[in-house]
Amino acid sequence: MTVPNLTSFGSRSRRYLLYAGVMGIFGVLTARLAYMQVYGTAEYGRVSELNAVRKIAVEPARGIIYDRYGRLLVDNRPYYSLTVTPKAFDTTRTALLAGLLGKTPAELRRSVAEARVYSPFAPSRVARDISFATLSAVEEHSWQLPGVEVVIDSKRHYPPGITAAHMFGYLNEISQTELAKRKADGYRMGDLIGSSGVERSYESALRGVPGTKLMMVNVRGQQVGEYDGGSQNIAPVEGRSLFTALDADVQRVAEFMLTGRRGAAVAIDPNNGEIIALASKPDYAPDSLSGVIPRDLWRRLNTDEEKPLYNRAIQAEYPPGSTWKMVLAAAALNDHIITPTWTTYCPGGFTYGGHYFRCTHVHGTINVTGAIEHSCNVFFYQLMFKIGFERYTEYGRRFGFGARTGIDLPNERKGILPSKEYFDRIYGVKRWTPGYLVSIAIGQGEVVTTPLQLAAYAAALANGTTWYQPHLVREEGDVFGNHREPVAYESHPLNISPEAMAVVRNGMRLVVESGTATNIRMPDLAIAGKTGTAQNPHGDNHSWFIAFAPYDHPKIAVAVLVENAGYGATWAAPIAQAMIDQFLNRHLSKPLPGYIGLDSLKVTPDGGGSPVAPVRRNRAPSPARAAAARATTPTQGR
Amino acid sequence: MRSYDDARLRGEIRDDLSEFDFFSLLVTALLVGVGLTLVYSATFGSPMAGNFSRQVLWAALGSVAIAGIVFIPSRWLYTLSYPIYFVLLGLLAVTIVAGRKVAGAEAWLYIGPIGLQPSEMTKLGTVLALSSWLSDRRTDPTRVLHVIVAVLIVLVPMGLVLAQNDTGTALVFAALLLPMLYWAGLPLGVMLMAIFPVVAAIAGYFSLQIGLSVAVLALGAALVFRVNPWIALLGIAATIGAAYATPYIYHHVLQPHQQQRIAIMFDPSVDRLGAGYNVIQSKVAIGSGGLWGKGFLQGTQTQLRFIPEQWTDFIFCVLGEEFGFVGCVTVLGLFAILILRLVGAANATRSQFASLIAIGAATIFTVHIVINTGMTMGILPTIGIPLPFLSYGGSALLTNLAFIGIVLNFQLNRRDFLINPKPEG
Repeated sequence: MTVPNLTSFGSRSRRYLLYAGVMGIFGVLTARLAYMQVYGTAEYGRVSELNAVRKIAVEPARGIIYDRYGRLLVDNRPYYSLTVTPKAFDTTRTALLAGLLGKTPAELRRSVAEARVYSPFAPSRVARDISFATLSAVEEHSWQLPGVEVVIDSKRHYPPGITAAHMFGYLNEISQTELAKRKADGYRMGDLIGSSGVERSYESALRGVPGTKLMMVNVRGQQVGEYDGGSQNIAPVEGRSLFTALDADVQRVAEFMLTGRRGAAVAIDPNNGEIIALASKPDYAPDSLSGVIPRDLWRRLNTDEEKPLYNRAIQAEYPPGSTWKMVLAAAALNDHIITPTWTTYCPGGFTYGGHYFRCTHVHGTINVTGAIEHSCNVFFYQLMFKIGFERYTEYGRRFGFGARTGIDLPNERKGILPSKEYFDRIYGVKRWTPGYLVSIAIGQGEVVTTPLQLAAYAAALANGTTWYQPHLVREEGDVFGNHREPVAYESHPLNISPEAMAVVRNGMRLVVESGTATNIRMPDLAIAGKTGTAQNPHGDNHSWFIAFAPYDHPKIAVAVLVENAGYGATWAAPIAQAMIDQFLNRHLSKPLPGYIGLDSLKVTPDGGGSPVAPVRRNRAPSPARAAAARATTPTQGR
Repeated sequence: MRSYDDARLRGEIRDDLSEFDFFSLLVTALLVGVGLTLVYSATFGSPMAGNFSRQVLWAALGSVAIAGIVFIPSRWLYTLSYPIYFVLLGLLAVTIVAGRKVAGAEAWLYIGPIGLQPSEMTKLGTVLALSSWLSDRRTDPTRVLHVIVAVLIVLVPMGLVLAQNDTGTALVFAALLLPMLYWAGLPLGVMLMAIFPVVAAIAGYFSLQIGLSVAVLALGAALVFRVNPWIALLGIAATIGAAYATPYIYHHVLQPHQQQRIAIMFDPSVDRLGAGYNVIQSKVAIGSGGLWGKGFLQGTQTQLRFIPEQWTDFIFCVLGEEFGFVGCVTVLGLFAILILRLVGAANATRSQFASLIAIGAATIFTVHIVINTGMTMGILPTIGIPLPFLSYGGSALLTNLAFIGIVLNFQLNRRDFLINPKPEG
């Protein structure tokens, strides 16, 4: 047996050292306890009597959306909600509170029961967006209503005049799946999140970064003050505001003229792809989905046959009809397959593979310019076989068809650009004949586009050189318009010679000047355009019109779709014309019956024009609004 | 074939309880009772209320375990110490591969509906194996190689626990080593030479001057305890190196987020919304309890659930708030009695194996108590380890009761159990 070397330490001293160590440790712990529970208990007791510190999320003010002239399109408004802390709530007062809220006691009892399931100690909302009268009544009875609190929430507010509902989108309570994905970004249950439109595509910028407050909470769960004088709070970071290129007047004109119809209108700045207006009808009032989304309204919107939630401007896919003809003309001219003076004869119809395809008229001998001007189908049937399928697809691609434009809105559709591969896939290899190409030559049959794609195409025809990615937002910045950063977008060259483009554009000018759309001719403004009619096997044909103006230095390009309206010039063209007129002249030189402009609606009593203008002074400020200034509203931490 | 009497005469079976330490058992039972009371209060009226009945079941299971352990032949514990150690290491490894993640640590192994934390039980296995090794007559605690084996016995489970992201439990393993080596006879001076570099490394975080003054202390200790000059030189050099290395590593090697994590360790208020928030709440709970406490189920901090998971690591807050200074001191007193009884048992037994186990148990309990209560009182960094007997958790309760059972077994058999007798000294 090895005897361990105990050096100078006998086991007795070893033991005493251990005893001393243990006693010392417990001595220190006891001293600390005495310090906290005997000497310092008054201070701790005070904090605890106010019953402790609760962590409360402070929602940042969501970013504001402005139009190109700095006019407010979307901002925030405070509203009052009522919370109940079930543990503290005196259930004998259920009838009283229900009466004040205009609910039945059973309804309120159910809400409180749901809140109890969530947490008996945390305040839960039992009523959102209560009126000022209700608020006053509740405050009056507050001594009888322990555990009931009024909190200020914030909802989106949309100035009157335009709806643009699909474009702005709406906010909704975050879903469980979304919450799981976004937990790292600081989302909590019950948070609102952009569900569609710009609200969704710019969610991370608009939302900002939530802050936190440590609040002292009393025994009844009511907040009684900030912990440690607020020194431990973290301020929220406001959401970024969006500076769009939209012109609210043009948007209003488009919405006014589409009212009562199903359709869409998109206006784009041909020099950079900025969206000037994007309207889709039927729609809904965006205010109706702000704050609390009423359940029956939501069901109605979802089941309505007119599909008001569907953004036709980016989701409707219809054959472009004759608006397509410039694709073929540009292809043939650019690749020198025809010259501008090459002519063919239109006898009023075309026979191919035993089928007879009608033309709109008997056009006689006609060149490419005349064929665009008068929308001669026979010319383009023949051109189709001269240029061939590959070139058809290639030029379609150059104008952005068959692919999403990449607009900053969710759920965009991409249309269909037919190609050999596509036909092989849907019909089978060698199961289709060149006869299938006759329809797609004039933009019917398999080829389908969205109004947005046609607007981007019109913009490319307008500038003659470049296809730009359409985009709504020019810049993100703070609410005062400082610290702006431009939003990136893409573009690609068309690679079409100026000579070819000149012929095509001239044809479009003649459409309005002396062709199929002379009804929208304006005395001192040269508009270039093209009518189109999408054949609809299920009912009346859809009416298309694309245009740009002024002809020499285009500043606006437009595409309009009116469903089941028949011929393009009749319904769609006047809408495009009014939008162009409003945009370029900043008023309507040809008044529309029944139309009231935005100015008369006093959308911006601050004078507008400058994004620096205070944004929430649209109405006389009440004390409550002042309290909720900047709509930085504390919501209960959940 | 041997008869009952035969076994009794050989000291393997006892029917005489005159040597049984009823007092320690009573103290243990009181602590478990307090624990159940606190878990009941901490989960009262909440969705976690089922934890109370589960903890009652675990306590019942633990009582059976104690009874079983007390009456098995002491020799079995010695024979089984290495097998138990290796089986538990295996379980720990399985947990890393197949375990379930709870609160950032992959510490749970599920056998049907029963969740086990092998990391808790491994504490017992490690104490058994380390005691077995250090009490072996062939082991000499002054020989470097033998000390290294002892270090490895601790380091392997510690590494596995670290791999589960459970830093707190790993710390407990680390803390086990020095007291047990000390008790086995490692010279105090040599031990100090190992401790000072660690102290200097921590001190160096705050200031280089403090770190270097630790080196002066190390020199003094080397002289007072007449440490072998080479070991002393090594220790002092390591101390100076550590004092310099810490600030260098902190500022030049670590990434900002790693720096942040260390900063939070030393000052929870840096992370005032995470760990820091819990400490604020916990201090308010304890401090507001005052002398007598707010009463059972009357603690507002506790009943309003301001402290997350207060039935586990923050159970001491519930005690402090509802039972006040008197309640806390009573429980700390019970802990102190239990630990002193363990140290007493370490002295009373003639078996060095038994003695080391008692010291190992005392160390583990002390480290848990100090770190846990220190954290809830805001004097130590937030390190999540449970309070023995009080915190909710079956694996920990079973492990702790098994420790008590083993020590009681040795106490009962101390006249007969002579494995690896202690050196006379």
